[in-house]
Amino acid sequence: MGKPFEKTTQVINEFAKPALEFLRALDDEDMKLQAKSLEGTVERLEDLTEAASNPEKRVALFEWGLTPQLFYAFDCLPLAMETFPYLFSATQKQVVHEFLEAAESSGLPSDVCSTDRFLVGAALSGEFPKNAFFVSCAGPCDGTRIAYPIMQKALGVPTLFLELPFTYERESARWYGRQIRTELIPFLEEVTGKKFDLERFREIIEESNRAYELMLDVYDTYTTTPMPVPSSLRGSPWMVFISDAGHPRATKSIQMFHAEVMRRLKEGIPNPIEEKHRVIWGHVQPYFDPLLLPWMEQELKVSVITSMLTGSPILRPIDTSSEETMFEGYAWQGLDMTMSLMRFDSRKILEYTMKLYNQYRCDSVIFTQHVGCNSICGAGGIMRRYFQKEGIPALFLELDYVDDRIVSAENLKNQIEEFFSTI
Amino acid sequence: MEHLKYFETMAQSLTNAEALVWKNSGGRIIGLLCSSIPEEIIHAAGLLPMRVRTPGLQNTKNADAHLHRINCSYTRSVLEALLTGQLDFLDGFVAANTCDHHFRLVSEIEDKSTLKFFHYFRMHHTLSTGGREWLLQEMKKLAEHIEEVFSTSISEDQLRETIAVYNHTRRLMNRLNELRKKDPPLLTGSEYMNIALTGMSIPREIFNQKLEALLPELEKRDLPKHHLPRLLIIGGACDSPDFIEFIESRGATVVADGLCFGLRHYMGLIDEKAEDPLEAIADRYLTRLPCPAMIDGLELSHEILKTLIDGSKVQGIVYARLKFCDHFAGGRKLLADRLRQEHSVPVIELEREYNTTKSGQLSTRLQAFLELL
Amino acid sequence: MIYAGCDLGTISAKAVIIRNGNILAVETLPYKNLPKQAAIQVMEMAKNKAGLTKENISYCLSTGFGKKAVPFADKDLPEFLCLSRAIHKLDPEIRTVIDAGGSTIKAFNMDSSGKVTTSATNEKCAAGTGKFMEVMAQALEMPIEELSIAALESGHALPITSQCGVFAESEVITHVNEGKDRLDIFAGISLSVAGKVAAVTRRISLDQPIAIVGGLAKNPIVVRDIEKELGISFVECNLDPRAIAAYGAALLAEERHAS
Repeated sequence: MGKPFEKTTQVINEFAKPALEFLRALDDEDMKLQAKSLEGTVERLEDLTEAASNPEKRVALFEWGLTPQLFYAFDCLPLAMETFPYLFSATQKQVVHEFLEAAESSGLPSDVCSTDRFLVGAALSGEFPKNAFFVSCAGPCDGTRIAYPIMQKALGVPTLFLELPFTYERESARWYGRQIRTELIPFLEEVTGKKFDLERFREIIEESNRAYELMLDVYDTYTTTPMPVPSSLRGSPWMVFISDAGHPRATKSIQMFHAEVMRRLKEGIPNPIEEKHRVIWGHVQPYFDPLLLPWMEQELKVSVITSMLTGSPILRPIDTSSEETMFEGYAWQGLDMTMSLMRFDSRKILEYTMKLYNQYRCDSVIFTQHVGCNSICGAGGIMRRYFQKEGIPALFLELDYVDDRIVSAENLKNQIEEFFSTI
Repeated sequence: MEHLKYFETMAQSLTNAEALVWKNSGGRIIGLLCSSIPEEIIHAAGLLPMRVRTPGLQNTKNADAHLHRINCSYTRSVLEALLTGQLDFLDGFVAANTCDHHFRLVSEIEDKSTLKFFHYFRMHHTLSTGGREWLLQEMKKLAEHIEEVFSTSISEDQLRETIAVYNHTRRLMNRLNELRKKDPPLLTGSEYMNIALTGMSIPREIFNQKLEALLPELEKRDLPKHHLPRLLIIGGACDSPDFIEFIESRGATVVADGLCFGLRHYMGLIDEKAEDPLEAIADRYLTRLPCPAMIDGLELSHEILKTLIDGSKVQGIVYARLKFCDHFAGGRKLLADRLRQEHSVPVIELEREYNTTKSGQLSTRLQAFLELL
Repeated sequence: MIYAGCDLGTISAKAVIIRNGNILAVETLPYKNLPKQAAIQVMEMAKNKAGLTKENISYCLSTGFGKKAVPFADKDLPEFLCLSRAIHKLDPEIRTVIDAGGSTIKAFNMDSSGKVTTSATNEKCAAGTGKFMEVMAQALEMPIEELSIAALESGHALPITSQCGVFAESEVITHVNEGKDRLDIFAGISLSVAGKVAAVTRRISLDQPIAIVGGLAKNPIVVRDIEKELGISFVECNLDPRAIAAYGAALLAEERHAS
C-alpha cells in the first residue's frame, strides 16, 4: 500500500521538473511555450501533494460535472479526477499497468473504462490522501457510476453524488445549479467546517471569468490557417481551466498563452505547419503517445485543430450579478465544459461535432472510440452514416487512450496514414 | 399443470394471444425498455405497457452495423428486432438512458423507428432528493407526451385505479414468492419466470385474474422433498426461462431473484392513501430493489437482498451479468465483497450473452459451484 | 527496367517483380518471428523465379503492416493506395474490395478512376482475421488448407457464440475436448470469421462488382460463407489474392520512378 500521492510526487520530481528544465533550455519557441504551460501544472501538483500531509487542508477529489471554483471558495485543493490518469499515461506506463492490475484483481472486469479502472486502482493502492473528500455527479457514463461507489469504499472519505440532468437547455443548468446549492454547499460546509461565503465565491468566479475570456480569444485564433500553436499545445488553456479555474495562477497561465498566441499572429508563427488537412478529433486522443499529433503534423501535414470534448469554450462567462445567475453559470460550466458533455444523445454529439467542424474550417474527422466506453462506441453508427451521406472523410479509430497495450501507437499511426492516403 | 401451461405460452412471445386480442379490439401497446420506467402512467392512459424482449432471436447482424459490438447483446437484440420489423405491432416506445447501452439505443430507435410515439425518458441515477425531484419531472413529461400523441388525458382517478390494479399484482406476486420460500419450493425458478414474464406481456387485469386462479392450485401442490441447493439469481436483462431451467438442471432450485424481469418489476406497493398519486408511484420506484445504475443504491440493494437471502434460505447466489455491462459488473463486485465480509452465502460470477441459454463452459462452472454448496 | 513491390504483412511476406507493367514473378512466404528476414528472402525467391539474380531492381516500394522494416525498399506506401492501384489495373470495373488479411480486415469502394472513396478497417480485435483462423486450426490440430476444403462438406456448423477472439478460442477448445467433429467446429469458425468480415464490409457500400483479396481469399469455406452472409458473388482477379498489394506497390514503383 503506497503513501498518498507517492506516484504523483514521483511524476513531478522525475519527469515534470526535469522536462521543464529541458524544454526551457531548447531553442524552440513551441518548446518554450510548452515549458511555460507546464510551470503552472507543476506548481498546482506540488501544492496538491503538499496538502496531502497537512491535516489543516482538504483535498477535493471531484469528477467531471464540476469545475474547481467552488472548491477554491472553500479553501480546498481541487483535483479533477479524470485528468489524473493523463499525468501518468505518457511517462509512467508501469504505474498505469500497476493501477489497472490492482483494479482488475479486486474484481473489476477489464471491459470497464480504463480511466475508471485506473482511478479505482489508484484508490486501492493508497494514492489518494485521507484528508480528502470526494464529489461526483451520477454520470455521465456507466464507468463512473460503478467506479465511484467502489472508490467510495476504497477511499473511506466523505462522499457526495449529485444527480446529473440529461438535458441540455438553460433550464437544466438552473436545475443543476440548484442541486449544487442545496446539496453540495451543505456537504462542503460540513466536511471543511467552513461557512459558504458568497462574496468569496463571486471573487473566485470573477477571477475565472478573466481566464475564460482569454481562453475564448485563444480558441478564436484556432480558426486561422495555419494554427498559431501546434496541435499538441492547443488544448492547454482548456486543461488549465478545468483543473485550476478561479486560482490566479490559472489566469496567469492562460494569459501567458494568450499573449504568446497574439504575438505569433502579429510577428509570425515560429514553426508553421503546411496544413494539408484540418481535423476535428471526436472524443479523446491517446494520451499515452504525446508524439502522435506532432508526427501527424510533420509527416502527414495534418493538423488536429481541437477535440470534441475539449472543443472550445462554448458558453458565456458566468454572470455574477445575482446568486442565482452565478450558480446557473457555474453549473453550466460543469455540465458543458467537461466530460459531462457525454450526456448528449448521439444526434446532439453529431450536431456539436459538426458545429466545431465548420467553425474551425476542418475537412476531416477522426472519431475515436475508447474501448470500454459503451457510450461513444454506441454513438458511432449514427455518426458514420451521417459522414458517409455528407461525404465527410471520417476515420473511426478504436483505441484505449490510457493503456498503450491495447492498440499500439504504431498501429494507430498506420491506420491514420492509410486513411489520409485515401483523401 | 394447465394453468402453468398458459403462462408458459404467453411468455414465449410478445405477440401472444392476449396481446393480439387487445390489439384487435383497438387497444394500443407501448414497448418499454427498462424496469425503471414508471409504466403505471402508461396503464393509466389506457395503453398496454409491454416490456420489450426478443425471445428466440439469435442473430444481430443488422443491429451490429449500427450499435457497436461492445454494446450489450440485449440492446443489440432489441435493435435487430426493430430493424427486421418484429416490433412493428407496437404503437410506440419508451426508452431511457438508464445505462449507456440503453442511451445509445435511444438514439437508434429515434432514428430508425417508424412508430408514431417515441419517448426518451431521462432516467435519474440517484435515490436522493434531487433524484426524486428529477424522476417526478420526467414522469410528468411522459404523461404530457402520451396525452398529446394519443389525444387522451390521465386523470388522478385513473392513476388511482391503476395503482389499485398494480398493487393487486404485487400482492399476488408476493404470495407467489412466499410459495418459493417453502421447502421444497412449490414452483421452480423457470415456472416463476414464465409467470413473471407473462405479467409484462399481457393486459394487467387479465394477468391478475389468471394468477389469482393459479395460486390456490400451486398452494395445493405436493412435491417430494429434495436437498437441492437453493439459489438466488441476480443479473441484468435476464429473461429466459430456459436459462433458469438450465441452471436448475445442473442440480439446484432457484428460489429467489433480483432480476429486472422479476423482483425489480414486482416489488413494492404504492401508497394508496398518498395525496399525490404520482408522488406515491415515484416513491415506490425509489424504494424497491434498485438497479446498479443508481450510484447510491448499494445500501438499499444490500438490505433488500439480505432479507431475501434470509427469508428464502438462499444458499448460493448466481450473479450473471451480460458481457460489457458495467453496472452489473460493479454491482456484482460490491455485493460479493460485502457478502464475503459478512461471511454470508457464496456468489458465482457468470458472464453471458442475452440469448445464451446454455453453454458447456457455464455448465462446468455451475456444477463446480453447486458441489461447493 | 525492373520494378518491385514488397508487402510485409503480419503472417506472410509477398514480393512481385514487373517490367512494363507485366509480371515477371510473384512469391509469398509465411513467417513466424523474423519479418525483416522474410522480406529479404521472399524478394530473393522472386528474383530467382524471374531469372534475375544479377540484374538490379530499379526501384522498389514496400507496403503492409511491416512496410518500414523492409530494408531494400526505396520508400513505403499505404496499403489502400497499393491495393486500389492493382485492382484498377487488373479489373477497372471493380467497385468494392475486401482485403481479409493476417491481422486486418479492410473494405473499400473505388470509383471508375481507381480512387478510394469510402473505407473501413476492422477494430483492434483479432477475431475474424487470418491469424485468428490459424490459431483455431492449431487448436483443431489439422492443417488449415485441409480444413478449409473438408469443412465445406459439414452440414452442422457448430456456432461460436463469443464475439471476442479469446473467448472464441476457449469455446473451440471446449468443443474439441467434448469430442465434437472437427469439420463442424471449423465450419462454425468460418461462419464467425465471415460474420466479422461482413460486419466491416457493411460499413461501406456494397457496390458491384466486388473482389476479395488477402490470405483469407484463398480459404474456400470462408469465401463461401462471406458471399452467403453478404448475398453477393465475388469476381475473380487474375492474380494470387495474397499478392495484390505487392503488385500495386510494384506498379506504383514503376509509375513514380519513370516520372
